[in-house]
Amino acid sequence: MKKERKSRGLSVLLPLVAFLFVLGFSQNAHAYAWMLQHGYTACSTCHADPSGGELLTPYGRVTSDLLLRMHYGAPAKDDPPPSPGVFWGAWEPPEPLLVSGSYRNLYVIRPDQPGREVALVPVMQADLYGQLRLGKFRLGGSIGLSKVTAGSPHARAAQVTAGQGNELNLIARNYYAGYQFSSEFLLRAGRLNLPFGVRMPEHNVWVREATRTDRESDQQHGLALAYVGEHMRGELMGIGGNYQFGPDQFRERGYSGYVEGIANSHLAAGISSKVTFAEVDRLTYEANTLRQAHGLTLRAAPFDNLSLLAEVNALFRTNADAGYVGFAQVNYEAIQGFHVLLTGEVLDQGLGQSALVTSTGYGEPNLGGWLSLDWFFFKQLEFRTDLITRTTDKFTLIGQLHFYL
Amino acid sequence: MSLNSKTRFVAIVLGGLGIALSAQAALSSAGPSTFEFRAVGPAGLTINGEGSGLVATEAGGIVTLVVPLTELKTGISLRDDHLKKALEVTAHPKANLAVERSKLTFPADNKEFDGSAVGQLTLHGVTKPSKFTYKVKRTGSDYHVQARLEVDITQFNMEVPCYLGVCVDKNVKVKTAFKVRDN
Repeated sequence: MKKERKSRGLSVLLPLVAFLFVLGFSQNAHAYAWMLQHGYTACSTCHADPSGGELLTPYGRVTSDLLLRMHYGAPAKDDPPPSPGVFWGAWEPPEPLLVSGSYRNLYVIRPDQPGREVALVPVMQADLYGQLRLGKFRLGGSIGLSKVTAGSPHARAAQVTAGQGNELNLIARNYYAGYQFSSEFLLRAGRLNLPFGVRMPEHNVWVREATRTDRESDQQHGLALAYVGEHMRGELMGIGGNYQFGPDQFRERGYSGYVEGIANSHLAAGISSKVTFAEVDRLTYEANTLRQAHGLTLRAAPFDNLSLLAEVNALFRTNADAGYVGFAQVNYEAIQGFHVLLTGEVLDQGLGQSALVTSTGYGEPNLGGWLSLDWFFFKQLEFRTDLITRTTDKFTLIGQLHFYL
Repeated sequence: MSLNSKTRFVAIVLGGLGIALSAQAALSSAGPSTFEFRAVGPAGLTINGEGSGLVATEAGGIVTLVVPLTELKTGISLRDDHLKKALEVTAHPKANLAVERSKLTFPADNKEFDGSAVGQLTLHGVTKPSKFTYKVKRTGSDYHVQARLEVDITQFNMEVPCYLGVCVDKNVKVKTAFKVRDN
C-alpha cells in the first residue's frame, strides 16, 4: 500500500518537474498569451475584477472592439473610434458607473447518450453586472437567471432563490464592496471569483472543476486582496464559505490565491494554491475533508497569433491518494476574431477511502481533448463551438451564441 | 638633416596627417536599426511600441541620432493616432539626441564597452539634457551600439496621455540598437 502511495506521489511530482523543465526553457520564447501580445499582461485595465473576467471597463470595451472581434475590410481613415458605451455603444454610463451583461445559449449533441442526444438550452447564462466607484470605494455585483436540470452541479451554488428541480432561479455569482488603496492594491469583501490558476471562460474544463475555481458558480464569500503591477500580479483570498447554501457543515473555508510573474509582454508564469476544509463535502459527501490544490500556470505566445495557456495542479484531500489535474491549450488566431483552439487535459483526483466516490477520474488518469472554434463575428457577439472527447465521454459537441453588453 | 632628424620629421608629418584624417572621420549609420519604447500604465498595462528609420550622423564633433516619429507603431491604430497627437508629430516630426563625440568611448577592435553619457534630447520641440546608457562593440570600423534612456515626457511640454480613464506613466523607456561606421 505504501509503495502504491509512493508511486502515486511520483506520478504527481513528475508532471510538475516536467512543467518546470519546460518553463525553464521558455525563457527565450517570444511568447505571449492571447491579450499579452498587445501589452495587456494583466486583466484589470479591461475588467473590473483585478484578476479578470466579466464586467468590462470602458477601456476594455473599446479594446475588445479593436482587438477581439473580426473586422470586415480595411478601416477608413475617417472612421470614428469605437464607442465605449453599452448596448453596442448606444449608452455611455457616467464614468464612475460600469454596467454590462452577458447572455449565452447552448446546444449540446451527445450521440452516445440515449434520450439526451440533442439538447438546446435557450438560456445558459443571462447575467447583468455593475460596479459603482465612489472615490476609492467600490460596490459591485451581478444578478442573473438560471435553470438547470435536477442534480446539476452547476448554478446551484450561486442561487439566491430556492427553486428546486428545473425551476427558474435568480442567481448572484459576485457581489462585493471594495477599497482601492492605490492603482496596484484592491481589497474586496463579498462573494468573489476564487483567485486560482488560469482564468478562462471554459468553466467545465477539468482544472476548473477539480479545483472548484470556475466562474460559473464556484465563487465564495470572503476577503480578497489583489495586487497588479508591471512585473507581478496576484490575489489572495480568505474563504469564509458560500453563504448562498447551507447548512454550515457544507461550507468550505480556507484560502485561495495565486502569484504570477510577468517576464515580459510575451511570457507570464505563476503559482496557485488553495486549501479548504468542510465538515461535509457538498458534492461527494466525504466527511471532514481538507482539500488542497497547488500548481503552476503558464501564459505564453511564441508567435503574434499563437498563444499557449497551461496549468498543472497537484490535488490532495483527506483520506484519499494524491491526484493531479492539468491542461494545455494552444490558441491560433487564424484571422483577427477567429480562433482555433486545441486543448488537452488530464485528471486523476486520487482514489479515496470513501465508497461514496467511485466515479471515473478518481484513482486513474482520465484524458480529454477539445477542438474549438471561437468566432467573434461582430461587436460584442461571439459564436463558439467545441468538440470534446474524454475518457468518460467519447463525443460531445457543444455550441453557444454569446453576446455581452 | 641626419637620419634621425628625417625619421622624426616623417613621423611628425604622418602623425599630423593621422590627426587630420581622424578629425575628418565621421560616424554614420551602416545597416538596419531598431527603435523601441515602453510605456506603462495602471494595473499592469504595458504599451510596447516601435519605430524605424533611425539615422546616425556626425558633424563638427557632434554625433546625432534622429528618429522619425510619424511612423511609430504600438499595435493598435487608434493608440498610434493618440500617440501622434500627444507628440504633435505634424509640428515635431522627429526626435533627436545629440552627443559630443568626445564624451563617448570607442573601444578597440573586437572589444566592448558599457557606459553612460549625457546628450541633448530634442522632443516635442523642447531640448533638455538627457542621460543615457550604451553598450558598444567594435568590429573593424563598425560600432554595434545598444542604447537606453528614460524620458520624462512632462519635461518636454507633453501631457501624460490618458484614454477612457487609463493614463500612462510620465516616464517612458526607450531602447535602440544600430550600427555606425567610422568613415
